[in-house]
Amino acid sequence: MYLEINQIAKNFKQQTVLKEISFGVKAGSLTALLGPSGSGKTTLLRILAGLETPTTGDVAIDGQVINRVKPQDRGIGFVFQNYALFRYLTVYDNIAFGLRTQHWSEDKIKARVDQLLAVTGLTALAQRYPNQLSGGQKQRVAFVRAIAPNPKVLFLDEPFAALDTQIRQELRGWLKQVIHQMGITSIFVTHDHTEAIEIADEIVVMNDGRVEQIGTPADVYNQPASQFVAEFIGHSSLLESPQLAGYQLPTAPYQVQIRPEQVAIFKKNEPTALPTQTATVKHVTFCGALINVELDLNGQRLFATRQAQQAPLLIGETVQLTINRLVLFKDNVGHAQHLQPLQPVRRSYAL
Amino acid sequence: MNLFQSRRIKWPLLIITWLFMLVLLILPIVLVFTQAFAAGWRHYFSVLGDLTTLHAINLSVAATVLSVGINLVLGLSAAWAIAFYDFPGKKLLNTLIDLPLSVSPVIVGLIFILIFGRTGWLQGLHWQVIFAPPAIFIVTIFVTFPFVARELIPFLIARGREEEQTAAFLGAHFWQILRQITLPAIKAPLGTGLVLATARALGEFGAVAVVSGNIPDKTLTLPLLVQNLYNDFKFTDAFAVATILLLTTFLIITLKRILIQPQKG
Repeated sequence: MYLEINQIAKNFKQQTVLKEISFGVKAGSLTALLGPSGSGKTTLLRILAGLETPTTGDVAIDGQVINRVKPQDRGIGFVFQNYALFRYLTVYDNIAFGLRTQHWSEDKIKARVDQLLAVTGLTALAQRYPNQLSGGQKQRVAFVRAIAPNPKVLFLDEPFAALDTQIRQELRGWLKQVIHQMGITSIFVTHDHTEAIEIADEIVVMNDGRVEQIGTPADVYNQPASQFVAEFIGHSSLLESPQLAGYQLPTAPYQVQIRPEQVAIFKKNEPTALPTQTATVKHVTFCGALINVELDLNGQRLFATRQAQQAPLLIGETVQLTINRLVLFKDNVGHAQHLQPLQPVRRSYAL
Repeated sequence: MNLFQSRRIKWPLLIITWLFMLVLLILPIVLVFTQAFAAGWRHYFSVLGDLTTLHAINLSVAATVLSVGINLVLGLSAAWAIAFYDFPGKKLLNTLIDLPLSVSPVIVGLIFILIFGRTGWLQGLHWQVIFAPPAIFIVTIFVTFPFVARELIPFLIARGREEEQTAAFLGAHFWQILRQITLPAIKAPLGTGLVLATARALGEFGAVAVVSGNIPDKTLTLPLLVQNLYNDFKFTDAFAVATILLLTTFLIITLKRILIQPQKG
């Protein structure tokens, strides 16, 4: 692994923030540290960047342990949540800053900065000052400034948190594309699971100072390793020891996680060949293309979706449903299960 | 109703402010100048050219330049340390920096008499400190110390250290960060702190009066000279010397306005 995190632990006074975290990051990949606030993800990022010292453990980039190396000499790029642009320097000088400290010649600096400005569509803004830029433009400048000196690893702390929804959406795609195009090994922190799923190659789900699961977005979404991951990532229903036709379920107690899109609803007159459950419609919410349905399944809440063009459901109506796929938790260890007669088994769900 | 379009509030507020300025600021300044020139131009310039006056100017300028220079370095160091680092005793240090502002200047003078005076802890020093310029320099540094640090600390804390950290990630070392990132950003509060420190250093009376010993041509600063002349019933001379202090203050404020224009950002 290009970046190795080895048994990193961090205590602040009496409080344990990180509990012996270990994982590796492949060269050129984009990794998300995902977790709720207080999970230790930002502390971990700051330790990797050298802004904090770990209580124990070490960090290695490309086989070289960098614990005792000063942030200046680690060869990393860091983008702060609020961008921290140098407000008395123009966009051009902001980007050139890291090249000037390395004593590049002005010709080479100009070539590099102009090339980066062109790639990122910022050429017209080169002579502007940071306070003359919009949020999205500032974000791009901060990012370009960080990658200009060719860092070994790029760290981004909540890179989209300060932007409004539409620009955030646009920049996510842009960032992913540029990072892959340039082949920079990158790690970013986020609390937003859709953001992590959309742009990361690999997601490290953190909770309470521990790593809950490491995997591709599809793995983490479809095969949550623990109940925490199941609840934190995506919308789903958690049922306590339900009896479900077509599944081999253990003896109670156990928990079952079901994604809304895995539940198919059939009205009385709609035929189905698969094993079904009986449930009652409690709420129906129109959300454009889809209709969100809240059902009562033997006293437990189950969320489902239904196409808007299908026959409308009435509140209080009794319906049949099939559950195509679920994740079973026994002693907080998750196993994905598919409805038995379904064939062939789909290995992964297209995101 | 729009509060900020109401003339019934705007005009009374303006009148109160201007009345205050007129009575407490403009009138006294006009008075100083009319009194200073009461015996004519020639007398005015003869007072300014007097050896005692020239010596007082010399001592005041030396004390001011020295204390403001030291203030710049100490204030910047203290502000940088308090705003950017965590260390035990940070709150205590932050409180101690304010101390010179809250202690009466006369007490400050007495403290240094107790330290350097004939029965003081350090009376065995080779050179004369008390009733000599060194004591004047020391008390002036003491009373002006908080001004730069006080302006900078809240500004640096509110601004955060992320620009400095980013510069460090980009390979910059301490002096590059200080010169290229921090100093341009703190120009305005630093300038304000320096102006306040200069004004206080020039005008400091209480602490300096205690340690100076009031020796003409030796330990008289400008404010002490004004006091001496006034006590000798030389009112015109006293006001003439006072105009030096006033004009210097105007000069410094104007200089600050020209040099440190509020920047974009």
